[in-house]
Parts: sequence; structure tokens; C-alpha cells
Amino acid sequence: MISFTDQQLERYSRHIILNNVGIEGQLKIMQGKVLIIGVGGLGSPAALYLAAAGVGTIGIVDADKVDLSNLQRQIIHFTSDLQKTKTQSAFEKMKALNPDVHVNTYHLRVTAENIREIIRDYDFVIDGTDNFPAKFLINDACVMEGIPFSHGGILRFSGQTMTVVPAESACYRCSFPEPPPKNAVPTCAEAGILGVVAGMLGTIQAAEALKYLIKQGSLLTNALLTFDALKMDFRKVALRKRADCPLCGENPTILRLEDIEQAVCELKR
Amino acid sequence: MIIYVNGEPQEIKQQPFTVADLLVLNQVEMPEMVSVQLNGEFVKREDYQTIQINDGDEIDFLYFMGGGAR
Amino acid sequence: MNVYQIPETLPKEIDHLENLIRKFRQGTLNETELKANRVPFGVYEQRQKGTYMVRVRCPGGIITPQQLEAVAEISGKFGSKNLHITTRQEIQIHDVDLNGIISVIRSLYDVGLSSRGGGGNTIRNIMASWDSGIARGEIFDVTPYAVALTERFIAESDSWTLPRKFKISFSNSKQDNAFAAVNDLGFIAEIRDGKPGFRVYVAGGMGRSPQVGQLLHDFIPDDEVYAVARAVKVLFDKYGNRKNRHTARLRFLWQKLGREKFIRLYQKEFAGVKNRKLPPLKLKKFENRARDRFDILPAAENTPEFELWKKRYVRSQKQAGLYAVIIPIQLGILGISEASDFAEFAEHFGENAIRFTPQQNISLRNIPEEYLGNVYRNVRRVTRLADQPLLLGNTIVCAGASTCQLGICRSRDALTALTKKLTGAGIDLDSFADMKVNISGCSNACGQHFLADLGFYGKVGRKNHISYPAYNIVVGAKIGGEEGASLAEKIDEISARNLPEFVAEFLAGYGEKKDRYDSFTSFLQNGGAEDVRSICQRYRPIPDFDEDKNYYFDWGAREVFSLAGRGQGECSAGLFDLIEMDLSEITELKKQLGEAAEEENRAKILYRIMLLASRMLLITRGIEASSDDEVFDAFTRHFIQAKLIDSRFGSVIETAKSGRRARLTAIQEEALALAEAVEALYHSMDDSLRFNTEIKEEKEERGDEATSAEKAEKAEKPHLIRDYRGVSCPMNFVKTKLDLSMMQKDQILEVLLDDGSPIENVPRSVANEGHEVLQQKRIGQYWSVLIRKKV
Ligand code: HEM
Ligand code: SF4
Ligand SMILES: [Zn+2]
Repeated sequence: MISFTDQQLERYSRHIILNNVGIEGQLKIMQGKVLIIGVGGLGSPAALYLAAAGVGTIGIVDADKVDLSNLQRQIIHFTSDLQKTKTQSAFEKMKALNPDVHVNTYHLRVTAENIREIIRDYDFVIDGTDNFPAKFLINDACVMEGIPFSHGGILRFSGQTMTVVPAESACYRCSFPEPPPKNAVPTCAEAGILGVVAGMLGTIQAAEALKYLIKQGSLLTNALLTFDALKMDFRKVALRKRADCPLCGENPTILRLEDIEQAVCELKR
Repeated sequence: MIIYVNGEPQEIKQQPFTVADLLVLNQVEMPEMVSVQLNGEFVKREDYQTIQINDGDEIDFLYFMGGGAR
Repeated sequence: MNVYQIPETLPKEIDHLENLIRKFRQGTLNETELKANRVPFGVYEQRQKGTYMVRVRCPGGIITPQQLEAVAEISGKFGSKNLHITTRQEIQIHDVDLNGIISVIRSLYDVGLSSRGGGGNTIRNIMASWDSGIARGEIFDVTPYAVALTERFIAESDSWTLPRKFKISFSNSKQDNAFAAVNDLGFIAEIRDGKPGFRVYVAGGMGRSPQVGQLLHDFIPDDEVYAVARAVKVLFDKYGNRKNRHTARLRFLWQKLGREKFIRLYQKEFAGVKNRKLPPLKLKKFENRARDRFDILPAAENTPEFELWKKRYVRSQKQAGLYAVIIPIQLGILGISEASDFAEFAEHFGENAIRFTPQQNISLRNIPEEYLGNVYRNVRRVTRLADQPLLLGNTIVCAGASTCQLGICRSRDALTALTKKLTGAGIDLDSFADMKVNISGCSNACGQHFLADLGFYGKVGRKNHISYPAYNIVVGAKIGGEEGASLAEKIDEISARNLPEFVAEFLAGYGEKKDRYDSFTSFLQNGGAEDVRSICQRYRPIPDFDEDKNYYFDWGAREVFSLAGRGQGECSAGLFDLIEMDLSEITELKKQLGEAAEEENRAKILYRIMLLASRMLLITRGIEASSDDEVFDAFTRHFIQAKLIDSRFGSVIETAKSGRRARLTAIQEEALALAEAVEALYHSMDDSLRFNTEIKEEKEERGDEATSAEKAEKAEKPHLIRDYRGVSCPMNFVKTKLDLSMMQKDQILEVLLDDGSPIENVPRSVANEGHEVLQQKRIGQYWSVLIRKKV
């Protein structure tokens, strides 16, 4: 049944007055469950916006602690949070922003072992991780569990994102069948990032999550949105679900989850 | 011939012209970091040398972006 | 330390006032308009034209020593040599000229003080027991509540545009020494089940028809103080009588509605406010302890005067070893050099050391015993009453007819005469230390005579058609205690001339029998009242004018008593003055029109009439137009399009606006008819600024009859009726959507919406979403909208 307190009505009034959201949409948001894997550059804005929007349950997964070098872009963490776990720091901000939302924290790294268990409780997953093994793992797990998710990646001044609805739309492996070879991963010097680019992309991912919850508009499926903040070019490339995709194709070759080894950059945190 | 690379028109004089040629022409330094689509279809890495590009084709380079800026 | 936080908007408001003053000086703004803005800023014009008084807000009577020093300095620069402590625990700067007003307000702002809400129809200074935080018998310290509520309310813009003044007070115990029971809203501290909270009274007040506060809540937990106060404010704002300021105070609303309806409406507001779960007040602690270090040495005093003073004016605090003193200030008048002398001294006792009391005195707290000698020395420099009994120090008198335009009697001079009489009468005044003798110059009760044990208020006596100054006598106020409050009641009257003798005789008589009664009240009930009457009886026939002219002169007056010169008081600032002013100019212009022969002249007059007619009522809609065109546009939108004024006048307005004034003479009839229509509308305005348009609506409905389909729809009963008046955009739309989402398709929802953007936006938006708006109907100042759920 519909029950809004006056306070909620007021808090979400700017949603409710939208024709495409309305009371019903807001209710869906409030009953929605979204998991954010990685509360770093992408996860920070996503977590804040989803909390602000009143998403009923938000899970946040991160194994790291807040480091000074994070603060240039990971806007959910403040200087006073240094050395706190990112999950704790994010939890505090999200609850302060909106006490209505239920926040589950997972202070761990997702692995082939644990990921399916974790994502199973959610309606939608946001990939805010910073490495290929995790991105592939999330793609594979979500496809296997049938949970839609938003993929996101950023590099220097650019970002790219796509939304995957398993069985219906192209998965990440449809376009990127295998992780790049270890030595091909950009060097540390190249791996800089303009902070706002992370914000732009994380916000797009949050928008996808909300659209998925309220079932309005069209998701960024079967397409890769790429943007270059230097030129402020936005490009949407159509993708196709491949019949011969090793994961979601007709004769899949990837049948179980596996952890992939990652090239580790010494400077990276 | 005129082809479209990432949406931008590009004049190609060379004939025949493969995906691999295009990667070289566009100075893609690390082909490992790129996925290629030809007219919306995924092109397997092993086919780069053999698949021909024709007038009016649309080619998209999809770059790996792994960062999440953790 | 700043006692309270001033909203960030204040500097802007000061700029605005400065602008108005400039315009006034340039002659482009008239006095009434300036007044409407200056009074809510706590700036009153004094009896002497062109001089002003600025009233400084001090919640709970708190001011820091540094602030008091600054106030004294500001007064020295821009005002008079005397400051004035009020019965609402504020301090006033007097004799400021027009040029000084802004400087005063800005300088006050610089030290964290504001005069906003010092006058006019605003949230006035919020009082608190002067001994809160230190009194031995107190329930708990209520100071933080008075301060926090002040901070919240002065940041809310609706605090400045209430129907009338709104007074709030907090008492720290049942003794109710902050008079919570005679304020518009009063809180009395209480602990229940270990939880701090308050007993709450509403609709109390003095003035011409006084009423003690009515019980609103037996108990509320302390975190609901804001919700209660906010709800009462909203209630007052919504339903208070804005038209007749003489019946505008909350107590008249109580009387008009009756207890049951008042409480019902209140409960609705209260529930609404509580639902919004606004944060409770942010309470600051006001520490009461001795300073850690003193940079003065204790001064030894052991004279008998010192001992007597301690008995009269020093009280031990609940904090062991600390003392508070009362410093009696005659008539609340404190010289600026005394003020800075005292303030500088008070710094030794910390920032929280000073309170103004409702008796217009000062209290100094947190004094270790060994420093009482120092305090005594300072007090003797600060006040002439240092070695006088408390009875005289505690007496309250209003400004009186010597300076107040409403006054009948010169109450201050009466007190001077009384003091002289009592000090020379050989009565032991110290035995009446807890007695309150208050004097007002007229029934407006600024001298709080209703709160007195023995009170007086000025009246006109008459003998052989000749007037003389006299006082009504009221006795026996009961404030505090278990049985609830009651005000002093009138039992007799006395000529001003004989007032001092009357008091002296009465006290002497009471003094003799005092031991036999446990309280003044029981004395009154057992013969005391008879004593009053018999003394009055003896003084009854006053001498004829020719026998003894003294009776026909008020105390301190050089002329024979007369009511000439009594004028409309300052407090009448506001809306109605502005409307009446335009109206009277219209009347005047109409006269001129009859005499004007030249076409051009007549056109000018007509234009002015139309402008005034269009402008006159805009203020009731909160509109201040800044150009002629804006006036016409606003009038068109809010009165013609809103169907308050017949639409046929639209074309006259267009003509006036077009600038072709010459054409106005051709349609003179229409122009004058417009003025009359506006005037008629004004007279139909009800207590809450709503216009009586019922008659018009009936007509409209009859016109509607043509479309029978519509009529059928009208007959359909709404499934749900919701009142969203007072709910602003877009929350009204949000709530409407919520209602619709809970209804079945084709059911009908009726919502009540305010005029203005709500009615302009909500139905349109609802229709955009695919629902059907069946009807929009104006009812007075609001609208009823019928919506059929379609999707
Ligand atoms: C000098 C010009 C003054 C004028 C013209 C004036 C006028 C009035 C009027 C008309 C009322 C009755 C208002 C009502 O019942 O709504 C009133 C009430 C009152 N005034 Fe004044 N007053 C003046 C000065 C003062 C001063 C100097 C004080 C205190 C220091 C004061 C304190 C009060 C109090 C305590 C009330 C009773 C308010 C209540 O109903 O609770 N007034 N005054
Ligand atoms: S009681 Fe009367 S005389 Fe005294 S200040 Fe008030 S209005 Fe003036
Ligand atoms: Zn796939």
C-alpha cells in the first residue's frame, strides 16, 4: 500500500511532480535495491544520488580505506575520513543525506567465490570498480544471475558506459570478449583521471539504475556511450548481442566464474 | 573511398583495405586495447587481417576503459 | 559571544529600510509607508516628531556585558543620554533622528543584536524567567528555549507579518515570574516521568480587555516546543483578525472561536507541523559558574547599608557559593555612562552575567560571595535606588501621558509623588518587599497593572463637567501557584492627587495587621478589600475647581488636565492605514474633479484616481508595485482576472495604461465606477482580508446553467476532499498526485487551493497528466477544484 509521510512527500516532491515518476515511480524507487560495487570515483556520486533519490536499499562494496589521493574525485569521502574504510565513510554520508535509505556495507573485495551470493539480493548493480578482472567478474556474475547492471569505465578525460540487461541485451563480453593482456593495461602515468569525469559517469550510471527501477524511458542497452570531456563529445555506438558471445551467446564457453589475474601498478591505490 | 571511423568521414586511397590496415593508418598503438565493430558487427581479432573495408562502411573502435578511479 | 544568531537576510532588510528612509527624505515616499516598514523593525516615532526609538531584542533579557557597552556607546553617538529597559526584558535607544536610524541598526548588528520585531505585528521579544538557570526552586533552566525559539522565529519571514503582535514567554517554575500565563503563548517548566517539558498556555494578554492564558497543553515534552509555537503562530497567521487591530490579538481569536474550535484548529496545525518532523530547537547551554580567574580583588564592605542591601537585593543561587543581585533601575531608565560603567564591571562575571527583568531592572549573576562588596560599590554608582527598599525598585510604571500619546494620566510623575510620600511616611517598606505596585497611564496596561498586588490605571474623572485625572484601583493578581493565574480586579477608584496618600494609608494599615495573614491575597479576602474601599470613601468627594485647583492638575503637569492632544498611537502602523490613506486621497480627488474645469487637469485627476483605486488593495495580496504599469498589471491579474472586480473595467485600465490620458475624460463615468467598485470590495473584506464574493459567485453559477452537462458533473459528489490551502507549490501538486494515486479511475477529487500560483499551476499540471479538471470555483480567497481521475 502507498504510504508516504509528509516529510517524504516533501523530500521527494521534485520526483513526484515528474510525469514519468509520480507517486508510483517514487514508490518503486523506495522499494528498489541497488548494489554499488566500488565506492570510488564512480561509486561516490552514484551512492549519493541514489541515497538522495530514496532508493530503499543500497549495498556498497569496497575493500579499501580512504586515502588522500582519493579525495580529488571520490566526493563521498572527506578529508576527515582518511583511514576510515570507504564503506564506513560512504555509509555515514548516505545516512546523513537520507536517513530513510537502508545501507548494507560489504567491506570486502568481490571474488568468484562471493559475488553471486552478494548480488543476488539486488535489483540492479552498478559497476564502479577500477580494474578489468572485477569488471569482467561483475559482467559474468550478473549475466549468470540475470541481474541487470551498469558497466562504467574511465580513462584520463574520457568515460564509457553501457547497461546490460542479461538475456535481452548485449553484455560486456559481446564487445570485449577477453580482458586485455596484462601488459597492455595503461601505465601508471597514463592512468590519471580528471576528477569530474568520474562524477559525470557515475551520475549517468545512477540515472540508469533509477530508470531501471521506475521502468521509464529506455536504458542504455545495446549501446556504448563514450564521451571525451576535453572536446565534450558524446557518442553512442550501437552494439549487438552476439550469438557467438562466449558468455551470453548460444554456445557459451564460460560456464563458471573465475578470478582473473590483474596487472598491478605499483603506484595505484 | 569514404569510410566513417567513429562517426568521422575518412578518405581512403589504398585498395584493398583491411581492418588491420585501418588500425595502422589510425596509429592505434595498442590494438590489444581496442575492439572493432564494422557496420555494427563485432569483428573478431583473428579476422582483422582478412576482413575488407568497403566504401561507406562504418567502423567503430571501442577502447577498453578499465578505470573506475578507485 | 552572541546571545542569539541573526538571520543572514537581515543586512538586506536593513538596506531596504535605508532605501525607504532615503526616499522619505527625498519626498518620494510618504510617512505612512515608511512607518509600515519601520515599526516592524522596532523603530517607533516618539511623541516629538522626527525623533525615534529603537527597541533591541534581548531574548530572556540576556545581553552580554560587551553588547550592553556597545548599546550605550551607540546611544551616545546617535541617541539620547538614557537607555530604557522595558517590561519585556529589552533595552531601548531613544531620541534617534531619521539619519541615525540606519547607523544604529547597523551598529547593533555588528555586535550581534537586532531590533527586528521590536514593534508592529511581529513576534516580539521572547521572555524567560530572569532567574532561570540560577533559582533555587526552579524546575530547569528555560533560557536555552527562549533563545533557540528566538533564533528559529526571527529567521522565519512569517514572523513579521502577523495579524498583530505575538508575545511568548518561558517560566522556570510555577511561580511564573516571566508571566507565561499572560502572554499569547506561555511555557511553564515541568518535569514529568523524568522528562523535561512544559505546561503550555495560549491567548493570554493584557491591554484593554485582558485575559489570562488558557491551558493548551497539560504537558509537552521539551522537544515539542518548536512544534507548539509554530502551530500557534500559523493558526494566528491564518485566522487572526487583520482588519480590526483592536480585536486582533490571539485572545480575541480565542473568544471568537470558542475553546473547542480554537483547540480543534490548533490541533490540526500542530499535527501538521509535527508531521513535517522539523528539527527540534537547537539548545545552547548558558553556563552559570564563577569565572576561573578574577582580575579584581574582593572589596571588603561591612557597613550597615551593605548588610541591608544584601538583605534587600542579593539572592543565593542554586550554584553553591554564588549570588545574584537585583539592581533596581528607576522607571527602567539607565543613563549611558552608568550603563557602560556597569557593563565594564559586569565583564568580571562572564558573558552570561546580565539579565533584564520584567520589572525593568537589571540582574547580575554568578558572583562569588567575596565579590559582593565590589558589586555593591558599582550598584551605588549605577542606580539611585541602591539603598531604597525593593518595593520601589520593583514598581512598574508605563511611559504615561507625559510622553505617550494615548495616555490619560502622567503615571511616571504619579510614581515620583508616591515615592516621595512613602519614603517620608515612616513606613517599613522592607516588610512589603514582595509586593508589586504597578501604574499604567491608561487602560492599555503598559504598566502591567493587571499583574499587580496593588495596581492603578489612568481614567478621566469628572466633577461638574470639569475633568480631572484619576486612577482605577485593581488588586490581587495571582500569577503562578497551583490554581492558575488570575488578574488583578478593579475594586475602586481614586483621584491622581490622592493616590500617594491612599497607598501610604493602605500600606500602613496592612503593615499593622500583616502578621495575621499568610499572604496578601488572604488579607484582601479577609478585610483588605474593605480597607481599600473605606479609604477611597474618605477621599471620594474631591474639592470643586475653585476650591482646590490642584486636583485638576496631574502630577508634574503645568496645565490643567485635559484630553486634548491624545492621538492615534504608533501601534497602528500597517495595512489599513495605507489603504485608508489611498481611499481618502481618492475622496479628495473626486472633490477636486468637480471643481476642475480644464480638460487636461481632469484627465490627470482621473488617472490618479484610477491608479489609487488599482493600488489600494494590492497590499492585501502582498504586492508592492514599483511603477504605475506594475500597479495596473497587478490589479488586472489579481482583481480583474480573479473576478473580484467586474471584467468590464479591463478596458478602462487599458486606456489608463496606454498613456493616452486625455481619453480618460471621455470615459469618466467608468473610471469613477471602478473606484467605487474597489471601495465596495474593500468594505466587503472580512476579518482575514478575504473578500465577500459570495454574491458574485451565485450570479456566476446561474450564468453557468446553460451547459447542463457541466451541471450534472457538479452534482457528482467528490470521493475525496482535501484542503491544500496554505500548502505552497509544488507540495500542493505533490499531495494532489498522492491522493489521485490512491483513487479509482473516474472517481472525483476535490482540492482546496490558495489563490495565486497554486490555482494557476495545480489544475494545469493535473490536466497535463491526463486527468480531467471538472471545475474551478473561487470561494472567497481560495479555490475549490474538482478533478476526475482518468489515468
Ligand atoms: C509610548 C507609547 C506607547 C503606546 C502608544 C503604547 C500603546 C499600547 C497599546 C495600544 C496597548 C494595547 C495593545 C493591545 O491590547 O493589543 C499596549 C499594551 C502594552 N504595552 Fe504599550 N504602549 C506604549 C509604550 C509602552 C512601553 C514603554 C511599554 C513597556 C516598557 C509598554 C508595554 C506594554 C505592555 C506590557 C502591554 C500589554 C501587552 C499585552 O497585551 O500583553 N508599552 N501598549
Ligand atoms: S498604558 Fe496607556 S499611557 Fe501608559 S504607555 Fe500604555 S498607552 Fe501609554
Ligand atoms: Zn555477451
